[in-house]
Formats: sequence, C-alpha cells, structure tokens
Amino acid sequence: MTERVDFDTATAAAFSFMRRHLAQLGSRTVLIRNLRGQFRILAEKKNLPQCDIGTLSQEFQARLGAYGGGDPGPIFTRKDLFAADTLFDSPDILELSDPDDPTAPIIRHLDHAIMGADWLRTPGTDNAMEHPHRVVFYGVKGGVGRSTALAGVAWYLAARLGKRVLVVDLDLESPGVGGMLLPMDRIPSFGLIDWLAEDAADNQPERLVQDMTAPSPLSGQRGGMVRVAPAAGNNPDNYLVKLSRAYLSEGRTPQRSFAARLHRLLTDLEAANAPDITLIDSRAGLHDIAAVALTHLDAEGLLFAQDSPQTWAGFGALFTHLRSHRRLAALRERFKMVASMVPAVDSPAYLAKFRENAHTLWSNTLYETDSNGDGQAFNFDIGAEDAPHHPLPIPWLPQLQAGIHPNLEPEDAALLDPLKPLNQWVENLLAPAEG
Amino acid sequence: MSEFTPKALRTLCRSLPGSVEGYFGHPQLQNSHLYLPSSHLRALDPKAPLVVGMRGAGKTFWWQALFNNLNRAVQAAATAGRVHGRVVARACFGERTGQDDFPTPALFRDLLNTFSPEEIWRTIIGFHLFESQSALGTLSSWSQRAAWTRDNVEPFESELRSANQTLRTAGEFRLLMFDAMDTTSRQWQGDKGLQAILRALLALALEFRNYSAFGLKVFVRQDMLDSQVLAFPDASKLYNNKVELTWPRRELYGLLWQYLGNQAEGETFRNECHSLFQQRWQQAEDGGAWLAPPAMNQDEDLQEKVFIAMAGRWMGHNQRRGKTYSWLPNHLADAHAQTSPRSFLAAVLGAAENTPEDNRLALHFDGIKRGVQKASQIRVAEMAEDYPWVEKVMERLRGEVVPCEFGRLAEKWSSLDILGWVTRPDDDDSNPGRPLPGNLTGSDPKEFREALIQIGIFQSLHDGRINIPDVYRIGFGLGRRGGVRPVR
Repeated sequence: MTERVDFDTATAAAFSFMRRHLAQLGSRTVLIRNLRGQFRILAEKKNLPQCDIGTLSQEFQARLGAYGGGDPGPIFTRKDLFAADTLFDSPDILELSDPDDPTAPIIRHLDHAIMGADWLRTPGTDNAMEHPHRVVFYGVKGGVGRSTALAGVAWYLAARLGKRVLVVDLDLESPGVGGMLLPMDRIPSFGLIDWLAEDAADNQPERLVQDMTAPSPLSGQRGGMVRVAPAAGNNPDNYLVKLSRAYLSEGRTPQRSFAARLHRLLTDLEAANAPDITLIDSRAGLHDIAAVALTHLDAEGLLFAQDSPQTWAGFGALFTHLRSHRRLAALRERFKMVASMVPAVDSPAYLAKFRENAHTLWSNTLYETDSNGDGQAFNFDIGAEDAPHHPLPIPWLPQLQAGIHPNLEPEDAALLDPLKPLNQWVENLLAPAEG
Repeated sequence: MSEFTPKALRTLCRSLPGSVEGYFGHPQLQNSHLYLPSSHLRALDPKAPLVVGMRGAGKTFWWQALFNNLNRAVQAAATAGRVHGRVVARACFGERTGQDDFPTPALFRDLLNTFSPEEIWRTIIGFHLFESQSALGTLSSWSQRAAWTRDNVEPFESELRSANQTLRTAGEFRLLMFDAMDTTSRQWQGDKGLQAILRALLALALEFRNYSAFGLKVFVRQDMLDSQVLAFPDASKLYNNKVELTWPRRELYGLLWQYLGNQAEGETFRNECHSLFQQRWQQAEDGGAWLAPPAMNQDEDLQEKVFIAMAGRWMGHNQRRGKTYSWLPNHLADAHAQTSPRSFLAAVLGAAENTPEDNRLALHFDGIKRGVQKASQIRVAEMAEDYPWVEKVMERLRGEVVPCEFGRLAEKWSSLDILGWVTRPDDDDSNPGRPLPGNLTGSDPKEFREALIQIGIFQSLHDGRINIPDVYRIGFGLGRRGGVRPVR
C-alpha cells in the first residue's frame, strides 16, 4: 500500500472497513477515534479468534497507515479492556448512517474530540416532552442582522398578536439581543452564563431561574409579553472565567452532556415563564453551542445567510457533517433559510441567485435524490416557496441597521414591515396543526 | 362550520375538464363557463391586432369564443375596443369551422405553389369583407379567388374602401381572426415557409390598422415571432403593442370558481360562498352564466381563504410543506413562472379524484400532489402537440438528473440520431404537421438549449447549469439531484 493516507481518506477507509467487516465484528462494535485522530476498533464479539484479529488488523493498518494506530491494537475485544461496558454504552457514541446508501449498516462511532461531537449526537429522550414552540436563529457568519431580526419578531408577536415570547440569548461570546430588548436598568440579576456556572458546580442552578428574565418595554398593549433571558446578568464580574467553563460536557453521564444541560436550562426557563414561543439567538459559526441549538433543542432552525462564497462554504461544511445524522429526516425539514440584508438595488436578481446557490447547497447535501418524481422524496425545485432552501427575504434598510432598542414607541412599528415574511413564518408556527 | 360541504364540492371538482381536449375544445365552450381574466380584456380589443400567448394560454379559446359569438366574449370585445358599432367576428384561419371560410391547411400549402403568402391572405381578407355579389364572392374556388386578387390589385383596393364604408354605415365592426398559424406550412424558412407566411399576414394587420370598420386579429405563440418574421417596415409598431395572454395566480383561481359555480351541481358551492364568505354570486342579465363577485377574482387573501375551506391551509400537517393556495400554481409553473389554465384545472380534478371519500375537506394535500403529477403529464402532452420535436428531444433525457451541466444533456443528443431527425427534409411524411423553428438547424445542440429555454422547459441558472421545472421534469421522467439517498 503506497497510496498516501490523510485525515479524510483515513476516515473514509475506517468507515468502509467497518461496513465490510461489521458482521464478523458484531453490530455493536465501536469505531473509536482518539484526540490525535487515530482509529481503534472495539469489537463486540468476545471470542473472535486471534488469527482473525491479526488478519483484520493487518488490513486495517495497511489501509489507514499512521491513522490505523500502533501497538497495541488496533483491534480490541471486550476481554482486552478493564471496563469495556462504559465504552460500549457511552452516551457519546454516534450512530451514523451512510448517506449514499440507506441500506448500509449503522456504524457506532466514538469520537474523542475536544469539542464538536454534539453536531451528530442523537437527542435525548426528554426532548419528547411537551414544550412551547422553539425557534433558533443561526448564521454561519455573524453581523448579518440575526439578532435584530429576532428582536423584531419578538416585538411583532407580543405587540401585534398578544403572544407571550421568551427570548434567550445563547450568543455567549457576543451577547446582543438582550440589549435590544431591555434597558440597562432592567437587566435581571443573573444571565445564562451564571446558570451554566452554577450547574457546572452542581450548585442548584434552578435557584437562579426566577431572576434570569425581565420583561421588555416592547411588549405592546395587547396582553402580549416579551421576556428576555440575557447572556449576562447585571453583575459583569467573572464573565470570561465563567465562559471558559460554560461548555463543559462530561460525556460519561448523559445528563451532564452540554446538550442535556442546555436543554434543562431551557426547560427551566420555559417552566418559569410559560411562553407561547421561545426564540433562541444562537452564536454564529461552526461552534458546539450552535450544534446543540440546531440539532438538540427540538426547535425550528432559521438559517441566516448572505449570498457570498464564504457563507455557502460554511453551510456546506455544516450540512456535509449533518448528512450522517441518524435523525436527518426529522431535522432538515425544520430548517429554513433567511436571506438577510438583501440589497435594495436589483433585489430580484440577488434573490434569484441566492435561491440557486442555496438550492445547490441543499441538493449537494441534505435533499434526497428524486429519481421518479412521485413526490415522496425530500427534494424541491429551485422555485418552490415551501422548500427549506427558498429564503425568507429581509431587505437591507437603514432603519433596520439603526437597530431595535428598548425605547422604541408603538408608532415605530413600521420598522417591522420589512420583517413581514419572517414574522408571518413564525406566526404560522403558532397556528394549530391540521388534519 | 368554516368549510365547504366536502362531498358535494369534491364531486363538483371531479367534473372539471382534465384532458388536453378539455376546456378550450368545442364541447366545453359554453357561455356560462367563460371566464374573462381582466388582463385578457385588452386581447379582445378589436383594435389590438397581435395577441401573443404560450401554448395553452387561450389563443384558440378566444378565437373560438368570438367566432361562436359567445355573448360575454363579444360584449367584452365591444367594451374593450374603441370601435363604433357591434363587433362581428369572422374566422379567417384556424381550426375547421365546418364552412368554407378559409382554405384548409393542405389547400393553403397547395396555393403557395402558385401564389405568394400575401396574395393568399389578401384573398381571404377580401372574401370576408366584400359583398357576396362581388367578384371574389362569386368565384367558387380558392385558387380562382386568389388569381383574381393577384390580377386585380386596384379593384381590390377600391372594394376594400367601399366595404369599409358599407360596414360603417351598417354600424358593424368586422373582426378578422387568424389562429393556428403553424398549420399553414411544414417548413419554417423559404418563400413558402411559416416565417414568410406570418410576416405577410402581420404586415397586412399593420397596413389595415387604419380602416375604421374592420381589423385583423392574429393569435401567435411568442416563439413564432423571431426577427425574420418581424422583418417588415414598422413591425415594431405592431410588436410593441402586442397583447400577452398570461395567467397570474388570481386568474387561475377565478377560472376555477367560474367552472365550479357554473357546473350543473354548482348551486351548493355558490350558496356556501355566500354563507361562509359573504360572497354572493349573481346571474348575468341574460339569465346564463353565474358570476362570482369581483373580490373572489381579484382579492388573493379572500381567494386563499376560499381555497383553505376546500383544501386546508397547508400541504401537510403544518407549514413546513407550504401553503396549498400558492403550492398548487407554483408547482405547475414553467421556467417563465407561467402556469397553463388547463393544467391548473386538471390538477384540481386529479386532486379530487385522489382524495378519499371520507376526507374532512373536499381536497386532501396528498390528492393535490397526485393531481399535480397528473397535470404534469397533460402539460407534456399539450406541448408535444405544438412542438413535436420537444418530445423527441426530451425523450432522450429520460432518467437524467437536474440541475446539471448542459454538456451532460448535449451528450445524450449527439450520441443519437436526434440532430439527423431535426434536419430531415420537412415534407418527409414521418415528420408531419408542425414546422420546426428556423433556429433549429440541427448543427449544434446549443440550438435546442436556446429553444427549450424560450418555451419555458429549460431554466438556465446563473452558473450555466440547466434546471427543469417540476411540471416538465416529472412529465418527461427526469430526476432531481440530492445529496442523500432516500430511506423507504
């Protein structure tokens, strides 16, 4: 074997090896990747003959080179390890399907990464619990008017429709939406960061929940209410120190994974505030917190984008990763693109190009191949308004750039007009299901 | 209750026309079912000589409605126009009328061996304008009449002037209508080609525009109007004032209401429009057609509410699969975002046929999906009638996946005898009927690309790839790209 092996080819080779030999190794076999990127295999079958292990190991190492591991290994069985069960039953194991072949067996994969595994982990069962509608606002790049749009939608739902809205600022590295909706003197005592700090120390974080939200003046007169849970409370002490521990994920116990912690936080906030809908401002970029927000919170995902190569490359990386998600089918139909800051000049042409590029992204990754046009495949034409790639447009307007702030008067509500498609989309979520 | 009685309305929908022949064919052409989109009013204006529309937009429909003297069409023409007197429409070319109003296509082609296109058109025009005792009126064959026209240029002109005077005195505007242009010839270029024939007719339409008591009205497809056809003096005056037959969404729904309200069992539907939406239908003064109140044809918000009461709000259990009201026309649209009214009605019919009897609403969203697939087949058949080459060319692409690079599609053509088929002599009997557009010489697959883009089957993306809208993709059996294989 003289072919050069790198991270990508080794990954592909490891998975293809697993699929070829899974019957021999046992279906619960785990493919492990260590922090350095090297692969090991923990075979399920206890009494795999030593000679078979030898042959398989040889093949594995020949194909993976340096990524195939060294001595000992790369193939272990239960009896080689002291506490094999903790590995076999680890909540961090990802069950990955082959996006190119739905009939291929599921591979159990344990990725000892520094962070990032939350993108593909299957949500915990407590997600099945009843909770209010949730919408995550996300962008692979920041500065695209995501938080402004969120604040506008919250204002619209409360002031125009009389809804109870909970706004959660999950953008811990760059908090913003809190300041748009709350005057300085109304910032509550505690922020999300405090809950996460207390939770990490196992110090009854639920105590804080009552003092983590405050009502926004932009709630209107129709019985609606915007309550805001900012990232930081009114005491800025130790923010960075808390932040550096915020994403703590102790994978060995499912309840301690970051996803589970965030879910608990959200559930607590919702229990205390009883909203009709929860709007979540996720931080931008390919970060763990965004992964959790988009894939673990049982939420709709609004994907903010501008038509630029960097944007599509970013979403491309994210979507390619999501292709192997076992619950892809449930996930992708809840995404919707948002074309933010659409230029005023020639906007139809801009949107047409956006649609085509978004369609290319989706067809290359998350749409299903439609071979017979029977309408069953998850696949959409470029111009299909209902498709996830087909964007809700938000025009670039000076008044939106100036932003939303808590001192706006009801007559400033014209600010909401450009957000109409987005407002309407979110409003439709609240309509009762049919049929 | 906020919905239509499902069973009654479903039955009503099942009586909608659902074939290529339906709607615009003779049998269904009834005064009561005639729906007049507000944008089509201008097309009926007797002083608008050039009417352009895609296949299925209603060119032949209006030709027939006027010819058959359907009250509301004729009245609309009189109201729309700036003409004096009543409008009397004559069929000067088009589908057979059962009378000797104009030469048959075969005879027309035969006449071209002896006469120029202009001479033939003048003959037909004179025949419909001059007194029956005039020379043209007394001759018994079209070749004799054409010979007279050719040899009597000056008498023809004076007859024309006196005919105009006579009509004026009698208080009549005579509208001379021309349709089905592509049956006049089997070739596109040359002296006897469709280009020359159409050019001669359009030049006459312009020339006769100044007569006060008669005028020409020519119905053509946009793709027929190439630069050669328009190569006559002042053609731009005609072209820039052309009237386009289009079907925006609200008119498609207006057409649907018109059909439902005027079917034999339409009373329940009309009554429920009133009880549910305070929309009271009224019968036309002549006691014929039932007419929906204007809001039902113009107000899209109201239309959506009415359709929701038929079909529900969403194309699924929630908004993720889109709104029924926009989904239906959207999924029938071609690359120019145009939807043919026939496929729209056929889709509603198919939706009703595929909705279970015990469904809570008249139409189920899964039924609508099936209906759209069926309508896709109908649209493909419709196009095949007008463009036989399209069927051949698209047949080769079956099983391909779009969007894709054009080169991939071009390969499918060049490897087979498609190009040869296109370039075969025009009067070869294996290639009967319609002529191929002049821009198809068969020398380069790019010609197909341009032609398919023009007629709305191909959509050219900004990166140069080709997409095919669902209405044609499904009917022609192509797939759509996806990044993951479906799980079933």
